Amino acid sequence: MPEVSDRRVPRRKDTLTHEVTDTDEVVIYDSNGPQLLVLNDMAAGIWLMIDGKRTIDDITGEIVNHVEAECATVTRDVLAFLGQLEQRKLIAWQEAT
Amino acid sequence: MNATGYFLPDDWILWHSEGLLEAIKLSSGDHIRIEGTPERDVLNGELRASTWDSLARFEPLLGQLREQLEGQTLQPLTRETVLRGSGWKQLFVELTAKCNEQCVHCYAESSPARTEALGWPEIVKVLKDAKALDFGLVQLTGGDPLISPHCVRAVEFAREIEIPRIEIYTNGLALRGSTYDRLRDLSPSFAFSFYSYNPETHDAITRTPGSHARTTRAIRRAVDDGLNVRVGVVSMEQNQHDASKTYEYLLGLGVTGDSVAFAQMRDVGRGDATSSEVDARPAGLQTGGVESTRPRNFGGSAAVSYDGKVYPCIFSRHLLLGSIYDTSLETILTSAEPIALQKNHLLTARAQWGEKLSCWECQTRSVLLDGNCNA
Repeated sequence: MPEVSDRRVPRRKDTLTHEVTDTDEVVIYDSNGPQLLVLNDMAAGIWLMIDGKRTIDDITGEIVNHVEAECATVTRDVLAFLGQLEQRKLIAWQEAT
Repeated sequence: MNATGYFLPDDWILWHSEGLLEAIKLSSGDHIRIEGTPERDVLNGELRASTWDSLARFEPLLGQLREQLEGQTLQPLTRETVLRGSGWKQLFVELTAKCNEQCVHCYAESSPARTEALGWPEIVKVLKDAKALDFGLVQLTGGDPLISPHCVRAVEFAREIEIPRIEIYTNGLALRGSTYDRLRDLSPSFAFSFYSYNPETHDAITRTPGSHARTTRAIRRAVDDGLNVRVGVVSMEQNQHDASKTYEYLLGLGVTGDSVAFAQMRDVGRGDATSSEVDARPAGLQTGGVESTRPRNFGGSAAVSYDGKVYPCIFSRHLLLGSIYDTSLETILTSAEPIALQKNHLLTARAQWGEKLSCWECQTRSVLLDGNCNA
């Protein structure tokens, strides 16, 4: 688990839809643009865990359980990716209930 | 992050940088942004087929873009690619600034008092360059081109070097006698300027008494002789209520319906001092002109003015490309000068050119060639 608990919950913007390709990539479509984002399989894995319920801790924990990587590294990568999504206004934050 | 601009004939402008592709479909103005990762670069053919399929399901326009990308070579945005588009389509050659009318709205500010004109050696060079560049149509215009002593010779020469189509844009006042006889034999196309079925209104716009009768005579004569005739009616305050009757009048002269175009006046030349907010199409009539913002191929145009200056179009006089007195037309039009493009500027700025420029090709070129809109 991360050293510092992060209970924030990322939530996808309502105008987004996505599709998983048969090569496990994800294509995100924002009709308010329009803009499309193609995610590689790693990023796609994080995206698919964004369900408005999982906290950052939850997401990081699940990834750590599936990959051979340091928790701190995974946390850094997850936060960086979520930061990019936030910057593109594809997600918003809410506190865990 | 440096973006590289590309032109994808004949309808897309693309910006590309490190996995990011932004595409504008010029004819519709649709703007799409696709962001990949460096290893999933959209433009470098690294996107998997299934991902393309997903993209196209979300945004059908991307299906069109995909086909275009597969079928064509990307061209960097240079002055030549922007001007040429999908191919050189129309070259305007203003033989003279002199006109036997002095219309209230004339974009070229022509009148009987003007004296500037192209000499025969320049006309020959321009026509040879038009042939070398493979222009599909050369329109001789002015002023009134029939006033130029070189008009008939220019048509003869253009025929000789096999320029596919020659059109004379005229008021028809000088289309008579031996000039007409020689031209009839050469069979160029004619485009007549006409303003109203009502002689008083027409003559008031041309500021030339008797011009209505003379233009009418010229149109009827060309039609009767089987020449290719079209008529352009510029709509303005003075003739805005005449459109339907004018249309019927022209049909009565034998002009076919799809050869009559009602065009909105543009804020260029004397037109700049006159209100241009008039769209006087006959009700329910589907003709060109006013509707020239409709999607069509982004074909290349250029204009050589009576003073030798070269512009992308007769209305785009704010975009001086060069002078045939300094260098050849071919050299001017094939410049590889790169276009520095403010991508977010294209769509908003293009709309600002709408008052001056009737067609979206010219609006787009104005933004691309002169990113800072000074309209």
